Amino acid sequence: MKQRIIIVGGVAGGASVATRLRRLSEDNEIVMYEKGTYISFANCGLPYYVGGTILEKDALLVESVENMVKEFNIEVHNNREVVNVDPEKHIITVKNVLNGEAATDHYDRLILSTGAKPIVPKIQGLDQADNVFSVRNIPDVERIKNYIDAHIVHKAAVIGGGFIGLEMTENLADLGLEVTLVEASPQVMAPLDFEMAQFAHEQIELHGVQLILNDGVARFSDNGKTVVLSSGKEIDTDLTVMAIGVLPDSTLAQKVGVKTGIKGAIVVNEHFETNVPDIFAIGDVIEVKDFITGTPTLIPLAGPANRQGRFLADYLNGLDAKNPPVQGTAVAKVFALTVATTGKNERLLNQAGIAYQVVHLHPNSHAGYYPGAAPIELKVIYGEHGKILGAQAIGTEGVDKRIDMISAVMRLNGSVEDLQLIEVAYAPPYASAKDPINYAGYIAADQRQGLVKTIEWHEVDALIEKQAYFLDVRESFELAAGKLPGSHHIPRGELRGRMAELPKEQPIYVYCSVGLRGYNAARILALNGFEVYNLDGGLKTYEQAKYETGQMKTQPHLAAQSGSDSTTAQQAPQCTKIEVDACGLQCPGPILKVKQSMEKMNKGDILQVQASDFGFHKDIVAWANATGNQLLTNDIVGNKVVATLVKGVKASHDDAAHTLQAAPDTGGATTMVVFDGDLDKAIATFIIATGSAAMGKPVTLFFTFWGLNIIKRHANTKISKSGTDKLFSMMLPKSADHLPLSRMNMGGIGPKMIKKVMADKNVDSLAVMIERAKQLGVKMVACTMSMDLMGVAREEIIDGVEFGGVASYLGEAAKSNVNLFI
Amino acid sequence: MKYVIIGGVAGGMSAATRLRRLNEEAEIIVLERGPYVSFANCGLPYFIGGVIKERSKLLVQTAEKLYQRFRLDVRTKSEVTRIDREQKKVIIDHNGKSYEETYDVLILSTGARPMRPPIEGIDQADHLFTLRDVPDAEHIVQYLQQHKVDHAVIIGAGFIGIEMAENLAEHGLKVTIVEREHQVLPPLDPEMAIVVEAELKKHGIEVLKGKTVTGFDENGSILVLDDGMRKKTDLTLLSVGVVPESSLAEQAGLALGIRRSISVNDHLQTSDSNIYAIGDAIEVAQTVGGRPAVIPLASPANRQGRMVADILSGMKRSYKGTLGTSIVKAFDLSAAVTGLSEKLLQRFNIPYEALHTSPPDHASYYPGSAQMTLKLLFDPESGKVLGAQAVGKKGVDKTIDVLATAIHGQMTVNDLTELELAYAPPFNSAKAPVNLIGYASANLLDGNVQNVQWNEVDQLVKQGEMLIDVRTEQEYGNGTIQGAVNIPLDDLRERLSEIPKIRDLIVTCQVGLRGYLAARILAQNGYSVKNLDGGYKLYSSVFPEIVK
Repeated sequence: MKQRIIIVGGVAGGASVATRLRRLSEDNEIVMYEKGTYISFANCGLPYYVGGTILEKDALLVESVENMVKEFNIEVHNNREVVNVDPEKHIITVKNVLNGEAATDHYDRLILSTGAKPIVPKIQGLDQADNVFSVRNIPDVERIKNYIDAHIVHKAAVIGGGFIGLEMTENLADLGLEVTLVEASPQVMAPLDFEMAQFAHEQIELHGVQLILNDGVARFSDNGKTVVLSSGKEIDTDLTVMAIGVLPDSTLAQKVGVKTGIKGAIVVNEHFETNVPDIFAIGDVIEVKDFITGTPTLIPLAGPANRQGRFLADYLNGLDAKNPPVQGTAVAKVFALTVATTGKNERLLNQAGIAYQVVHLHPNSHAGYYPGAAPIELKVIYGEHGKILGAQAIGTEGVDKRIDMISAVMRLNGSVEDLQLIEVAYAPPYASAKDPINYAGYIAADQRQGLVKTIEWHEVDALIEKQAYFLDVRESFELAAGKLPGSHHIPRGELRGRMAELPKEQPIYVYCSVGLRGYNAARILALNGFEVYNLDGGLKTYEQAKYETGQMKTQPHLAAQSGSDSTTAQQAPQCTKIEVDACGLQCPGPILKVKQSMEKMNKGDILQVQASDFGFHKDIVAWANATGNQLLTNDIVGNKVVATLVKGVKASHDDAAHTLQAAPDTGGATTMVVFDGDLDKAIATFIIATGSAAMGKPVTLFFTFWGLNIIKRHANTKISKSGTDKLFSMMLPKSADHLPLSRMNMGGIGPKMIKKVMADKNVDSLAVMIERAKQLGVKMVACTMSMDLMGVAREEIIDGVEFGGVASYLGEAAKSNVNLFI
Repeated sequence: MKYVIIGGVAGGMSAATRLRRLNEEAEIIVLERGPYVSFANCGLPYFIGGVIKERSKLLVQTAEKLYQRFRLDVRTKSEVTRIDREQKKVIIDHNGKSYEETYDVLILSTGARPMRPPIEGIDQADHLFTLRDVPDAEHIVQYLQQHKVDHAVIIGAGFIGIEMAENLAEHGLKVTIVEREHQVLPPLDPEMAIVVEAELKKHGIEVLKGKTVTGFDENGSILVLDDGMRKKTDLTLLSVGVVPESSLAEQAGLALGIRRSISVNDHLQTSDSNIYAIGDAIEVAQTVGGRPAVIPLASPANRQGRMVADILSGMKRSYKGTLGTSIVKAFDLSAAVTGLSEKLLQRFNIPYEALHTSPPDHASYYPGSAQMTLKLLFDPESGKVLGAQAVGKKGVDKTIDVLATAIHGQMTVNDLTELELAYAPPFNSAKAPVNLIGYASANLLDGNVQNVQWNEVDQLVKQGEMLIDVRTEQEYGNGTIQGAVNIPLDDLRERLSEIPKIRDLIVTCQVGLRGYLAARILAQNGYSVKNLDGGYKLYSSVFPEIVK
């Protein structure tokens, strides 16, 4: 039977339902009333039109009126507002917006797709302001563009830190305006949890926007030229965008007795039917069912609106279609970052009384060794049976992809176990063999099985206050960029040998920078009977959560002052400039790269380093301060941080030389012949070696006879040997771990004692000293002749040792002014 | 407990580290034949091409670090020459010296080796390379540095072949690819692969399809092809596929599966209950259809490594199968595939429906969007997704990853329409490519439209069906399929009288969307009509020479 179906509202849902209705039926009369001039325009593109990213207005017009008429045979009435409905008689009253003329029309079915309208609160002074705008449709953004063209506009204020507010902030900043963003709650982007929103806060400030949180607009004064906030703070502005949210535009519905619910949203059943016969509703104006809680909610997003339009058309044509519950998957570009979410966040789960667990991780967007990799800050929230309840992700690349996959897993009520099993398309430019979502699944599954217990960032401060035992398992040099106050430090690699230092009677809270080494350490300790917790997300999540807005200087593109008192070494022409790419580096990441590069440089040389992790921006400031190097610039360039440093006059090799007092550089080299293989002598050797190397001297250690035992590798490499070689092998210590003492050896008790004393006094173990010596560029040479005599094979010697004869020793000794025989 | 793991890359190292995290006391020995463990083999082509500049970046872990962190006893250059199942020990060769190591549990992660077909003259051929590990890559890099290399020939246009073609071309070499099949990238269906082929040619690579190398002449500097062509080469890469490295398992009498892969149960256990096997060497079940297959990919290998450690540590786990999601970069394009291809569905006699779309990766009004070609294969009864392929400049990985997730979740095309994907103009369209292909597939499933494929249309036209091109006059004028008449969509309703009711109709447009609209109009007016799936765009990319 031929029907006349009238649609009120010609954007998103309205356009979708109209075209689908036509595709399913050639017979029906399909009529669209739109109060604006344009139908089916791309409202999500509006901010980018203001910013000039989208140049042509026409690009925003998805379907023209002409096309709707010709291609789809739809009767389109734009500039026509439906002002009343007579549900009994099935008649609508229509007002011509241009000339006020009224008309009526008859419908068999009426579809309301009236959308949502920006909230414009009654604020004192708003009526006198001619420079306050909201962003809902094309005329709105044209007004903004025209205003900018016709007036001198330097400063802009955006009120509201939701998606539109942020997009407008970015686009106005792109136009070169000085932008202030005001948000009444403690964070922008409500779908994020606070610690995740902090990444956005930092990003916003890094791009020169003034961010004011926890403050609302009290009034406008000076014809809108001044925004007065609740705190009394005043903001000068030439242009203000109000983006504090939207409300369902249900005036017409309410007028004709259609039942409404939350914030006036139209209540519909799963077939989009309202309480009034033959009146249906779709899009931002309706209440939808929340995917997680099953309760009614408002989720004004384009994706669901389009889907609803299509499904309603299906239903009206007798197909099986129901309005699916909505997860609220969303994404926004925030300067260089992509911020995406799906499902529920912690705040909403707490409100709903749903129990959950979370994991935070910071995996690379693709294989770290392939150029351009950048970290993704990922948070996954799961509930009973591991069912995924929500996820949040932030980064410069691959963020939308991961949230889309997690959203798809959620759609079928998938669990964290499913996340482990998703087979992602992997090649180095796209992903890692273990994709971020696999990792999230692995970590969560381990949590669920009790393999690791975690604490969250927000529990840390209370624990510190209670003097809980925090154990930092990062490498020594990482501590320069910050650590938890009062924490103890044992690098993860040394943990097995130093467990005696740890308390058995109280819980140990382990942390590293991103959580991975912490997890490994937690496993070791748990398997050794300790009560241990790992800090989820590591120091990175905790420190980001502690980010303080408003601390950044107003010109963040300029160099932050490194607090060092080094002389203002400007770029001397004779200085070498070294460029380093630290993008996509695995933890400990860019700082290690900087440290290693700096060590190869001379005082006054300049290092330029780029990193894809925005956290580097603050890490490098702290590191430069702690190490006495001078930070010249610290800029955001595209989606990277680019910093330049001058190697400082008093630049030390961080803590490498902490066992020695720094001494003036006397030039010359140090050589040592290491003849004996006793533990105490070995320790002395490496203290002197690392000390001299830290002072910038070339150091060569020449290992001969018993001294070779010091540089044997740990692994008990089985090598077939014959006769005397075999005998020697059995009698000699296997590696540096097994060396005797020169005095008080006492059948091996002595070495154990000294190792404990070293550990207690926080002196590095010999193995660590050897490793550090290597990092500092200490040259180690094993004497090939004595190796032959002692029956030591090359495979038994640790990596990084050169092989040479007496000539190589003499050559080095000739250049040195310190020459020792140990 | 003493675990001995043979093979220290991907799966082997995943198993070892996970075992340690779960068992602090266990003795864990990793025996690696080569000089390096845990290296990034997927990065090798990019190391050769100079995209990855430092070799050290490929070396994910060293034996020293693995000892320090995980107390793993990692022994490089240690090749297991024999497994003694009776005595539960392995015999190891290290620099020509032999010793034994006993085990409680043995894990085989022996990988796969490049196939080396018995081509005449192959053993005398110089500068013939395969690419499996870091030393292989180093050989190629050294060769490029030390010799004047102008022309490279790559035999085999699979993933590694394509990656090497790109990297050698970026290096300034003239590159020829010889492929036995009549398409590049055999895991893809031909109409999808042709897009990649065009990209290769655009970047100056010569593609010789349907040809095999029958001989190496003049010490390998001349390749002889089956059609008699003689191809000069300064460097030849053999990348015709890999075979499971199962000789140890075979010698030990373990059960083998297809292509001499190692047979395992769903606990990754071989026919000897003390021996497990993982990675490229094993036979797996295909997620779609459940047939046995060998799927040598890094992600499944890593997953299996972790899982075998879980199983050995008493956790409840079972390996259900491999989907086979993979992706390759070919210059500016990405090509990705998941699940089964149309070719495999045909070979296995699995009923399917195929559908092609050409969506933009993100809202076309936002700068930088690019169209991709997307193909979905699904069950014509249940609508269950069986496979997908995508080729394009952007969004290919995301689209295929979401579809891989959908197949994992056993979704139907109707489920695809309900997927809620993150939308803002820079990232997606309000109707994402996955949603759109779900809608289009649901239309087929519901009988709203019938499709005809790119390789069927010519035959049907020959049989007398009427082909209507519903694009604009201008588009039609720029080229159409032979025999097509032009009735633009906008005029269709007015010009119905021109179309005889007795004839079966095929409609086509550029990508299939307007064709679908036309088909709906015609069907509702009583015509028997089919829409050309993928439209003129797909047809003309496969048959560029026969379009008008």
